[in-house]
Amino acid sequence: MKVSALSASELKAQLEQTGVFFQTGPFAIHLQSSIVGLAEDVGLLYTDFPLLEQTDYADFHVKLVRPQNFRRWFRPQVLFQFDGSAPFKPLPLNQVFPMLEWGLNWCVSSHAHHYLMIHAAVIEKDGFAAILPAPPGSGKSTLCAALVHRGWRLLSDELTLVNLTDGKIVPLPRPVSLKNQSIDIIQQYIPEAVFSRKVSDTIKGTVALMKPPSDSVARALEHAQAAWVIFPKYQPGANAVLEEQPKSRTFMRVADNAFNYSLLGIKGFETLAGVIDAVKCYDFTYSRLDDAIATFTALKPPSNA
Amino acid sequence: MGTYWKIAPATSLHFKHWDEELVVFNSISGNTHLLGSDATYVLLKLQQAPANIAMLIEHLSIELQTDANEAFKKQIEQVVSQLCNLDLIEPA
Repeated sequence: MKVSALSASELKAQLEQTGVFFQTGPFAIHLQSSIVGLAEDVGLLYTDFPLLEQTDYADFHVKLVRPQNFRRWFRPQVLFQFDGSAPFKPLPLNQVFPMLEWGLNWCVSSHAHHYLMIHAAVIEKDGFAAILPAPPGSGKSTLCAALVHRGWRLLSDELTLVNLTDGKIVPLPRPVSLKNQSIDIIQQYIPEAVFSRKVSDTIKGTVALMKPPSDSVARALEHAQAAWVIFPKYQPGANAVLEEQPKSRTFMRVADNAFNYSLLGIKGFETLAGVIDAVKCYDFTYSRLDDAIATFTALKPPSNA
Repeated sequence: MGTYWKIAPATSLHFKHWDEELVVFNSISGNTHLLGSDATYVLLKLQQAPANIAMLIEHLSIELQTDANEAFKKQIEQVVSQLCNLDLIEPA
């Protein structure tokens, strides 16, 4: 059964009372909240996600609540709670849905050390995954949002999970976070994409979340073999150019982008070395999404893949 | 004779060699290093057996097909010093 099986009122009631248990990739989430509006966002963007029948276990128990102080009435705020603790400062109440997404990212990146976790988008086609590490502002999420509507499966827009036992990429498809101009760009480029409300004045500017493609959510248990590491960079007016990079340099750049590379010690080194061994490595500069999609469509997996 | 050099305890260093560069993980320090071609050659030579500067110059000048001149000697000495500072090699 999926979240879509609950009516709007059922979802709202369940969130307010016992909470909703649902699956995102390899993680079971228990979400509770009485905040008005959150149920609509969850119902819209998590509609395809499996509901869990067992309600006595979750990887992450999270709540979004309004602080119990005078801020309940004056410039109201929202607080993210994880297992009863509040790891962050509160945010303005209207940022409740982005806060849920940021909070869930924090849950995974802070706890899921049975994976090597890379701050990167990752997409898949024909069983082969392209890992896109990039700092904020590089156009990674915009590129990812476009590609997953043009033949690629979304594995994650933010957290690449590498299985420590076999080096495979483990999907974690969730809503794709877009900000500022990227929101309008993707809404025009992919008119059928479903979006949450825009939320302005966040720490990242104006943000909106794009519903992950249904197929990506349905296939969340299908792991993928890494075949490319591509560092995207949006550059106004640039032609699409793929420039091959040395594996050794790529290793160091990806390690810098990994949340827990150092924590994992030798296991992190060996796992990342295995990934880099198997992939082709590129810098990718682009400006037009059509060009970027054509470039990615033409990618061929390494011969040793 | 000059100081003989060897790699840090063999069990602590883990290598990955791509083209002419080396990524080295030191499990004692937890540090990861990217070594260029010069340092790669020296470290891999010392992995085979301890050596002093003179031996490194002789071996590597042949392997790299270059003159074992003063500049090359200074280059080797510099690389050895850098590898020592990174705790990747130590006096034998």
